[in-house]
Parts: sequence; structure tokens; C-alpha cells
Amino acid sequence: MPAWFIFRRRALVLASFVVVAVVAGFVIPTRGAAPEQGTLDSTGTVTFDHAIHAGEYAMPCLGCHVYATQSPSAGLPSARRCMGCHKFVAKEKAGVQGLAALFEKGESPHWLRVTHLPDFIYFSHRMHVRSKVACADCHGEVKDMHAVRMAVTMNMGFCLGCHAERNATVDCVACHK
Amino acid sequence: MDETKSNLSRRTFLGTVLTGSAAASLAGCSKKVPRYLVPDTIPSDDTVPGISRFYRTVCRECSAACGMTARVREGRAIKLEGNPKHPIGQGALCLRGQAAIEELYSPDRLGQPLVASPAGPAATSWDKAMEAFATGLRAAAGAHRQIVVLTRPERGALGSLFRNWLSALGQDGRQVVTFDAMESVWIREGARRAFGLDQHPVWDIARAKTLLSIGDDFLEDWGSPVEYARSLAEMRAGGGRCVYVGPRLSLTAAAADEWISAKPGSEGELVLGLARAALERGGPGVDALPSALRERLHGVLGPYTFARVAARTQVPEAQIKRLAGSFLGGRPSLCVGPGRAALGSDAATLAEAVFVLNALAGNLDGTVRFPTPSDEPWAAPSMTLDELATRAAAGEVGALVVHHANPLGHGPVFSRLREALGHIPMVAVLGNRLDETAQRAHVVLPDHHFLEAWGDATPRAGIRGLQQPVMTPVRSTRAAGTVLLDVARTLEATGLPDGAFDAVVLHSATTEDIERGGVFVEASPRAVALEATVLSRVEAEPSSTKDHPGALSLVVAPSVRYLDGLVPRGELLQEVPDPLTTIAWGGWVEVHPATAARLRVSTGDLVRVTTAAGQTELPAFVYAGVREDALAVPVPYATGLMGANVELRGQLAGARLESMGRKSSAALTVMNTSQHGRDLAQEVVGAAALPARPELPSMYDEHVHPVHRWGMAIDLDACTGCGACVAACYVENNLPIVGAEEVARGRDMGWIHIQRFVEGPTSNPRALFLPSMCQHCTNAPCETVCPTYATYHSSEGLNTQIYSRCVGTRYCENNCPYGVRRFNWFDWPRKEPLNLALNPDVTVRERGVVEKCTLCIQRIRGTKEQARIDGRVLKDGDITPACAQTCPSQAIVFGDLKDPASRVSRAASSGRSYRLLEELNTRPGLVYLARRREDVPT
Repeated sequence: MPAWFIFRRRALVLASFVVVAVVAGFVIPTRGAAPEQGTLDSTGTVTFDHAIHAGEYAMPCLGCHVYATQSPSAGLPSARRCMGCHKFVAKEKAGVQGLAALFEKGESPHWLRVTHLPDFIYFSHRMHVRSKVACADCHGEVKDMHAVRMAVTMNMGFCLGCHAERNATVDCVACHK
Repeated sequence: MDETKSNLSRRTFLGTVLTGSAAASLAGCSKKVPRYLVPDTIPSDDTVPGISRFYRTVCRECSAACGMTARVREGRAIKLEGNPKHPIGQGALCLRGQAAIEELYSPDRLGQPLVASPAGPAATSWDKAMEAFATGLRAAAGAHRQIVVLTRPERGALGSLFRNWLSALGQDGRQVVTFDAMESVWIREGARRAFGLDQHPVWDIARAKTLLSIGDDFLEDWGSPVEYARSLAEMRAGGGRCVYVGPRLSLTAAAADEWISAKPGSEGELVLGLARAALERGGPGVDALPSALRERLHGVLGPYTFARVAARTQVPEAQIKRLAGSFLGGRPSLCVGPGRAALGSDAATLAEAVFVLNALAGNLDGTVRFPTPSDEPWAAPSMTLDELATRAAAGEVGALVVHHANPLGHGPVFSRLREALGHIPMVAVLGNRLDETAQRAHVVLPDHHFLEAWGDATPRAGIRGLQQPVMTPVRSTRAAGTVLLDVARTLEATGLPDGAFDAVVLHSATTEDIERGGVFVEASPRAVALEATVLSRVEAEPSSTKDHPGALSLVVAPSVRYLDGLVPRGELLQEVPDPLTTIAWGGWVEVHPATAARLRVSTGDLVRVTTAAGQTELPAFVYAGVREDALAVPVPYATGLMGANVELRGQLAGARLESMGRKSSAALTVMNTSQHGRDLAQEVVGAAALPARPELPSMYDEHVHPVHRWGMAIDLDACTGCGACVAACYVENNLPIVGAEEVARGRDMGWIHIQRFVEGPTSNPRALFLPSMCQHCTNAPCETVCPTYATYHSSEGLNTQIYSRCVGTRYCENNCPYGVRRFNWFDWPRKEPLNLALNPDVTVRERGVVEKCTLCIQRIRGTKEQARIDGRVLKDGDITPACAQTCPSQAIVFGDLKDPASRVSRAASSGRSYRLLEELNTRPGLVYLARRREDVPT
């Protein structure tokens, strides 16, 4: 082989390493680690276990996620709502003590976000809840989860499948902001 | 070299692999996804996350004090609208009102107290700053020197508090200087001479049949732009006629039916000539005069024959006769003015003459009214800025409290005050910015932004607008009223209310009042009559007729953007271009085509303007709408040329212009002034209808709109080109601000462009404004060329854009015949906390995608959802895009073209309606109504 080809070939191999690495970095989605025991807050001091609350005690979703029928955003229970029970209940648990400490300071836990849609999507909880879509249809059987995880991949196909089935709108701008 | 042996060493190999991996991991730095969800600790009872709340308040951008409604999401104000219940504004906001949200979140707004130190202003705590404030006041009182308050106009509880506060500190309550750079002080002086009243009148433009403006740019800087814009639209819709006399085709002159270009300085001649004609013609106004005054006026006005007026003003006699005929024959009439553009040497006499004309034409107590003045403490007489400078220079002032006033920002104009400040031992500033005046302060105690504060404003009798906080303060600021009350308590002053300032405001306001946005009652007028000594200072040979041969008159060009005479502090007001020149980010000088040809200057060239007071270099703008013997410069760029011109007077003789021989970097957004015969901004003469246009065949399948077909109607007869819609769109849709350089490259991101055309002969030009945005065509040329189906026609008639599908080929932008699509060449991240103003219902587009007007799809979607939840049918007027909502003239109407009863359908079937570039058969969803024009003989 000619000399220039050997020299260029080395450079080519090096360049392709870098290119493949960069492309792979974009293509392979980055995922955060899924917590094991209960959904965590950012300090790691408060854990919330849906399997206890929604499972064992069969608390309804709307009991804590109160805005789901009134607002596009379902919301999370305020620290005061949690303390409504936990002022008296399970005070010996470390997670509850962490919550009480935060509430004492006038703060709320910073829950690590599990379910999210891109900024360019408009999703209205109240429209779906009022249309009798069950929470579990999208969020999975949360009452069986210790730590919340996304049970389905919420891509557009997932949404459109249900919309097509139920004759809901498939107009792009119904959801794309 | 050995061909089989590699040149690659182990070290190089490892280094390359590691670098590659590092590069790959950097790719993981993708768009920030919100990592945390943080609920309220204790939720507010009335706030639901995701649902907006609306609070009524008052805009404090200028002294018009229009009613305002703030839309608040999760405790943050994100959009401002007018207050439909407030008589001033009636639901609309001007350009400045819309842009006011930016200042709330500006990183450059003062966020904590400052004290002067050898190294400049130094941040300090509130305790230390209050201590310094109290010490300074105590020292001033102890040395028996005066404490003076220098403030913007405060016609309400705070204005009264200033006076009571001074009295409580043992000072004279009149030691308040009200600084309003845009107040027409000469009008007050004219009213004093004409009627013995130290007041501004109420000009009822909506009621007039014939409106004559003497250089009065009431759509821009004359005190209440929103109200006057609506009044003008009402007046013209009712068949009224408006004539503008002035040296320049301003926005107001362009909205008028006729522009009479009088020689600068000769406007007084014209007014007195009309007054003479009114006196001769007689009528109720003349009959009301005592006979002695009538006799006297015959003598004073006698010399002002039409012939003489024509000679002095350089306006043809026939035109003057026609003006007199229409003004005096078309009752009720109204002459407003004089405005800044008509101010030559004797502004007060001109104002006096305008009042005399109104009196003789029978307009007193009709279209010109003086309400009974308030007897509140804030209405008491105050000191002048001149007196303050004199007393300070004499060492009589021990402390100056400056509240939202920046006289030193106006360049050399207030040089006496600048000097005098050095003699005041303590200058305390209660404001929002470290502006030129605040830089001279000893202590700065930052005030809340008006959206964070309590207050009230009474722009005129009977209208008390209530201002309430719409959110908690963004920074560590305190209400000015509370600061004054607190420091008075420290100084053990008595006689002031307990508690904080909000208690003072709320003392005389109920919950209903606050929810309404104010207390509005009919004002009782007072009877006025001309003084016997009126027009005693009229000279037979006014000095304005002195000629400066060959020299040009410098005329000040006012605008809502540069309202207070200063370059705006925020970016949005600079990015939205000036309506007439379409120049953004900077100043200019308007040059007549003949002058430009003589000096070999074209638009965009750098020129130098020189006057006796100074010189400045500005881009030239060749414009037939300025007199051949004049130049026009916007207010902030003219201050250096006007010298010690305290009234920022509009005209200055003896200006020179020379070319600098190179191009400027002006950011021009509309490149030419001609329509090139494309009939874009159309006009109809009188009550005529536009000729019918044949329906063209289409080869496309018909789009089906099963339920709604949204559209808009834009009435060019009502549109004044003010640009409020542009600013509203920027705020509502999270549009990025790209800066001067990118605007100059044509990369501004405005979804609405106000196209401006200059029509007619150079001797009698007209300016036409065409707000152009996405036309939402049924046969859209952009949709067919998108390779990824990112843009498509919705079932409700919108041409939509799906940003996540767009790959940025810009084929759509190229194919659009209206040029309304914008490409995101860059990302424009917002500096914190400006990101708090982002509308969460609209996504922030990233670089590489095309965007355009969506007819506020977020409002359509949101209103439809709410209607479904409420179980009601949508009706006309439920959905209002941001542009339509804020338009002061109500020129933009949104609605369902499938509903024959909707306002937009009725507009579409009007004889004046047409669509842009109809011959292309794009079948737009937007309809324009042609501008009405008179057949005025040239």
C-alpha cells in the first residue's frame, strides 16, 4: 500500500473513534438510576412508598394528587397534606422524620422527577381524568410500586394509540404547544 | 518507512480513546429536563397550579395610569393586559404597558440597598441603609435646612403621603418637586393665561366631529396614548375627520385625514388665523364673550387674514380656507395642542391661542373641559425643578429624597440641577435603577416594581385606579411609602398613619374596588370663560419668522417607545422597531428626499447633525414625511442638540446636516417604503367599496373545516401602526430578543411585522401601516414544501407549526409569499430571572426550527378546554389572541369565519375587505379592511 494511505488510515481510525463515540453519546439515551426503596427526594432523607399508601391502605390517587380534576397539572401533595396524617402516623419511620424536619423548617421535599413530557407537549390531566381515563392506564399499577417508575414509554405512539381507540382528537396542535 | 509498522504509539492510542469517550459523555449534556418536583409546603387556598389567576392593577409606565390586568401563574406574573372596567384604556395596553413585564424580572433592576463608598455604590443591608437615611434626615433637620422630595407624578395616596411626611418632619409640605419629562407644562401655562386655571383640560376626542391637532402627537407622547387611540378610532368610525398641522408626518399625522405642513414656528399664525375666522363667523362661542373682550379680540386677531397666514405658514390659502370651513362648520369641533412638534419660541402663547380658538368655536364645556380639581394633599402646588436647583446651590437643601425621577438622564438639559446636587449633603433614592441620578446618591433604598406594590393613581378627576401587588417581590426591595413611614417612626415624627403603606391605600378602598381596579365616578366640570387679558402677549411680528437662510429646523420626533425622552432600559422596547422608520435599537435623523439628494445621502448612511448646542452622528432615514426645511430626530438622541432646553421643545432653528461618507449600522426592518404596486395596504376613497375580485379556481382539494374556521380581521382604518400588538406577541409567545446586529441582518424574530408604506407624491405623502403576520392560508404555499410535515393545515383553519418535526430546511420560509416565517438561527437563553416571565403554555423554540404566528393556539386550546369543562358553547369574543386583546384602537378582531354572525365574518363581508396578495389564490384566513381616505385635492 502507498505510504499516504497508511498515514491517512491511522488518522481515519482515530477520527472514526471520536465520531462513533460522539454519535453514540447522542443516540444512547441517558437514564437516571432507578431508586430501589421508595421514591426519593433530592436529599435522600425522605422516602415515599406508594405500595404502602396506595396499595396497603388503598388511598385513592385523587386524595393526594388533588389537582388532577381541576388543572392540566395533577400536582403533588403539599407537605401540609402529608403531615395531616404523619403528625400522628408512623412517626418512628426515618422517612417520616425527614419529612417532619423539612416541614418544621417550612420546606417541602424536592421529589426526584420520574414522569415527564417534553416542554413542547401540552398534557391536560383534568381533560383525561374527566374522560374517565384511569391513572393506571398511563402511570402503571403505582399501588404495587415501592419506587415509582415509568411503566410505559410515553412516546407519541402510546398517546395516539389510545386517542385513536377512543375517538379523541388526533390534531397535532391539541398536544403540541 | 516500514509500511507494516504502525506510527501509532500506545500513548497516542490511549489518549485518543479517552478524548473520544470524554466527547461522547459531553453529548449527555442535553437540554435540561426539570429534575425535581417541589410542591407547596402550605398550599394557597385560591391558587391551583396550572391555572392562571388575574389581578387588576394600574400601569405606572407613564402618567396615563391605564388600568391593567396581570395574568399570574404559580405566583409569577407572566402577561399584562388592560382592564376592561377602567375608563382609561378600557382593556387595552400600549407598547410600553406590554413591555413593562420585562422590568419586573430584569437582572439590572436594583435588588438590594446601596450606600455610597469611595469605590462606588456598595451593597448593604436594609438596616444599615435605613440608618444612613435616618441619619441624613436628622442632620438636615438639625441644621435647619430643607428636606425636599423629587418624584415622578404621584396623584394618589403616595403623593399625599409625601406632603404629610414632610409636615411630620417639621418641613413645609410644599417641598415636593414633581418631575415629569413628558408633561406639557406649556399647556398649563396657556390655561393659566386663557382661563386663570393652573390645570390640564380633558380633551374629549371621541365626541368631536372635526379634530384639529396643532403638532400634537396624541397617539404617542401627549399623556394618554391608549385612550386617545381608542377615541380617535371611535371618532373616525363615526364619520369624524382629523387634520394634523405640523412639520412632520408623525404617527398621529399619518392617522389623520390630512397633513398640513406649516413652516416650523408659524403654527401660531395658523391658529390665530382660524380664531379670526371663528370670531367673524360667530356662533355660541362668540356670543358667550363679553362685548368688551369681543371688541378687543377683533383688534388682536384682525391682522391674521388668510392671505397673511398663507404667506407666513407657506400653506396655500385655498387649503387654509378649506380647513377653516371644515373646522368651523363641523361641530362639535376640537383643537388639541400644541404638542412638542409645534413648539417654537413661545409655547405658552401658542397654547393660549389654541384655547382661544376652542373658546370661539364653542368647544368649552364640550370637547374641552376642565374638571373641578382635587382637594387632596397630592394636588397641592409644588416646587419647580428650577427652584430646587436654586435653593440647593444656595446651600439651603439638607436632604433630597428622589422617587422614580431621573432628571440627570436627560443629558445637558438639567445641568443646573446636576451642579446643585453637589451641594446637598444627603441624596436618597427610592427607585428601581442605578440611573444617572441614582449614581449621585448617598443611599439607595430600592422600591418595589409597580407589579409588586400597593398604590393608586388618579390621572384625572373621577378616575382613581387602584394598584395592588400581583406577586411577592422578586428581590429584596421595600415599598417606598413604607420606607418613609418607617424612617419617620425612627425619627419619632408624629401625625403619620401606623403600619405599612398598604394600610394607607386600603384605608379608602373596598375589596370590590380593588377587584374592579379602581373607583370611577363622573367628574363634575367647572364653568370656564376666557380671561379679559387673553392674548395680550401676542406680538404683531413673532420672532419665529426670523429666517436662518439655508439652515434646517431640527424637529423632535416623539414616540411611545422613547416616551420619557430616554433610551428604554429594557430590551423589548428597543427590539420592537419604530413604526415610521422601522429602525430598531437606536436613533436616526429623518431627511427629506430633496435634502438627501443634495447631500448625496441615502437611508442607512451615517450623517452628522450640528446645532449651536452640539453635534451628533446618526443614521439617516430618507422620508418624504418631514418638511424639506427640517430634520427630525427622536427625543433621546436630540437632547444633546437641544441645549439647555428644559421643555424638550420640539423645534430648533439653525441645524446643519452633513454626510459622513460611510454607512451606519442601523437596524432597519422594513427596507423600502414603496408597495411597488402590489396593493398590499389598500385604501378606499370615502364610502366607496373595493372592486369585486373574481374567485380563482384551485387545483388543491378543498380543506374541510367541520366545526370552526378561525380567522382575523384587521382594520387598516383603525390601525395606527403603534406596535402594541408586536410587543404583546413577544411577551405572550416567548419570542427571543436578538439584538441590534441580528436585527440588521434581518434575523429578528417578531411574528408580527408592521409594514410601513409611504404613498402619494413627495409634496403630500401618506404613511400606511399593515400589520402582517401568518395569514393562515387555506392553500398555504408553505405546507406543500415541508419535507417533514412539520407544518400543516389544522381542521380549524390554522396553519400550524410542529417544532419537534421541523428540521430547519427553511423551504417554508422561502415559499411564503408574505415573508412571515422566522427561523431560529441561534438559541437565545434568557438571563435569570427574565426566564420567570416565560409563558408556560408556549414552548421555547430551540435553534434550527422555523416559527410564526399561531393565532395564539395556546389561548384557543385553553379556552376550548375551559368551555368543555364548564359545559358551555363557545361564543364570539371568548377567544382573543394577544395582539387583538391589546390593540388600543381595537383594529384586530379574531373569530370564527364559519359563524356568519361573528364580528370577523361581518368584517369579511364588508365592502372594504380584501385579502393580501389575493391574486396568488392562497385564500388567507386573515382579512384586511382598507383604509378610508378622503379625496383631498392636492
